[in-house]
Amino acid sequence: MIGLSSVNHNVAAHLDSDGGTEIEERESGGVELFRKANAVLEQLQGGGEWTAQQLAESVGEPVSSTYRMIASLRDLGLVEKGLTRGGFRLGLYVMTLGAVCDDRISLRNVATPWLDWLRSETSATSFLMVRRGYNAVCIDRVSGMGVRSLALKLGGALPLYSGAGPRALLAFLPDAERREVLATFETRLNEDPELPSPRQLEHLIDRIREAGVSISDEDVTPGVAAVGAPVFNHRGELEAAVSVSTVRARLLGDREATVSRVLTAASEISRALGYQPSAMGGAK
Amino acid sequence: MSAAHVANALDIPRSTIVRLIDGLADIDLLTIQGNGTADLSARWLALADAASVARSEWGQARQAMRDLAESTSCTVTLSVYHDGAVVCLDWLPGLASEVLHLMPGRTSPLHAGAEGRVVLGSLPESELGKILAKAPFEGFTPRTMITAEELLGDVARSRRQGYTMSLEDAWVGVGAIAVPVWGADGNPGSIALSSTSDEILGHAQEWTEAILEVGERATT
Repeated sequence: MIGLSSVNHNVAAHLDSDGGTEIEERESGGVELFRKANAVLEQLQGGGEWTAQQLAESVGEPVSSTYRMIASLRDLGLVEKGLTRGGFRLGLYVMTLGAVCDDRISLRNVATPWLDWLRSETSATSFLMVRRGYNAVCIDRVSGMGVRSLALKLGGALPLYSGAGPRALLAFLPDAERREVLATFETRLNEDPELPSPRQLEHLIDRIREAGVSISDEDVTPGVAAVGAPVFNHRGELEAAVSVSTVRARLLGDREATVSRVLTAASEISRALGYQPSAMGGAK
Repeated sequence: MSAAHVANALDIPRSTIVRLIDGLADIDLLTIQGNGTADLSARWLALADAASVARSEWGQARQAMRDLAESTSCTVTLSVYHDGAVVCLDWLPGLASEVLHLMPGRTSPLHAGAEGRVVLGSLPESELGKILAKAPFEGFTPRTMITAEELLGDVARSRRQGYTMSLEDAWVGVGAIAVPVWGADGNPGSIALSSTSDEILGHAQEWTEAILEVGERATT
C-alpha cells in the first residue's frame, strides 16, 4: 500500500493519543478524526480552491480545528496551498495515489467475478463487451449450461444495434456519439436487411434508457434471448456492457429476476470502477 | 496488503494499523477485500481527477495540448515540475497508438524522456546544478543520458532550439518531442507528443513545427 507508507505516523499519533487513555475515547476520537478529514476532502473533491474559513463553514467545524486538519492533510501531501490567497486544493500526491489505483483496477478483473455470478444465478452465458467503432466486442465471457449461443465468441463482435449488450452500449453512448452512430447506420439501411429503421432504433433506445436495461428476444439467434446493462466508470462515462444470453424460455421465464441480476452485476462492476451515481446525477 | 504486513513495513503497532485501515475504509479511501487485505479504493480515481482539474493555472496549456492532439493524432501529455521530477497532469491518447509510459499521476525523471529533459532545461541554474550534482543517473535504455556532462549538452541544445526530442532513451521503441510551458504560477512544465520512434523520426519536421507553435500559444 504505497499510500499508507507515507500516510501515517502523524495520524497514528493522533489515534494513539487523541481523546485520553480509555480505548473507547481513543476509538471515538479516531472516528471523529477520519470524519473531519473526509469532510475536508469531500469539499475539495467538489472542485476549486477553498480557504480554511470556507471549509470550516461548509463542514460545520471551528476554523481552528479545520486549520489543524488542513495542516495534517498537507503533511500527507493530500492538500496543498492553492493559487488564491489563503486557498487550498487537493495535492499532487492525490494524483499519484490515483495512478496507483488506476494501475490496479482492470475492467476484466473486476467484472470476472460478476460474470461468474451471473452464470451461476442464471445458468446463461454471461458476456462483457466494449464498444469499438460501430460494434460491440466481447472481451470476456463465461459459458452457460444447456444451450450455448455462438453468436458472440470471445473477441467476436456484433453491431451496436444487434443484441442486448450491444444495444445497451448504443443506448448509453454520449448524445453526440450516439447521434453519429445512428446517422451512420441510416446510411447502411439498403445494405443490411437486419438493420432496424431509425425510428425503431430510437424507440428501442428510449426504452432501454428508461429501464436502464436492454432485452433482446430472438433478434440475433432464433430461440435465444439476452438481457444487458451498461457499466460506467468513475467519471460516469460508459465503459462497457454486461449481458446474459440463453434459450428465451429459460431467460425470460422469470424476466424480473433476470433483469434484477444483470442490473446488480452492472451496478457492482460500475461501483468497483469508482462510479458514484448519486454524485453524478446518473449516467452521462 | 494485510494489516500485519503494513504494521511491519511501517513499524507501527498492528492494533493502530487496524484502526487506521478501518477508519480509512469507513470514509471510502481503502477497501477491505474478502481475504482481509486492504487496498486503495476506487474513490482515489475521482479524487485524482479533481486534483488535476484544480490546477487551473494550466488551463491554456490544456487547450494547447488538445489542439496538438487533433493536428498530429499523437498521444499528448502535459507534465509539471514537482520535487525533482515531472508529474503528468493530463493525457490525450493518440489515434493510431496510445503511448502509456506517462499518464496522469505518473512521474518521469528529468534525465530521460523529452517530457522531463525539456523541463530540466527550463530550470534556473541553481536548481539545475543541484539536480545534476546527483549524477550519474539510472539508465533505462542504452540511449539514456546518465552523466552531468551529457545532460548539460542536452540542456544547451534544448534551450537553443526551443524543444527536446527523445528517441528511445526512456522506453525502447518510443519517442517524443516536447516544448517547455509555464503555469500561471511560473512553475515549469512541458507539453509533449509521443509515438513510436519510427513515427517521430518520420514526421520530425512537421511535428516539431506543430509543437513549437502550440507551445508558444500555451505560454502567451
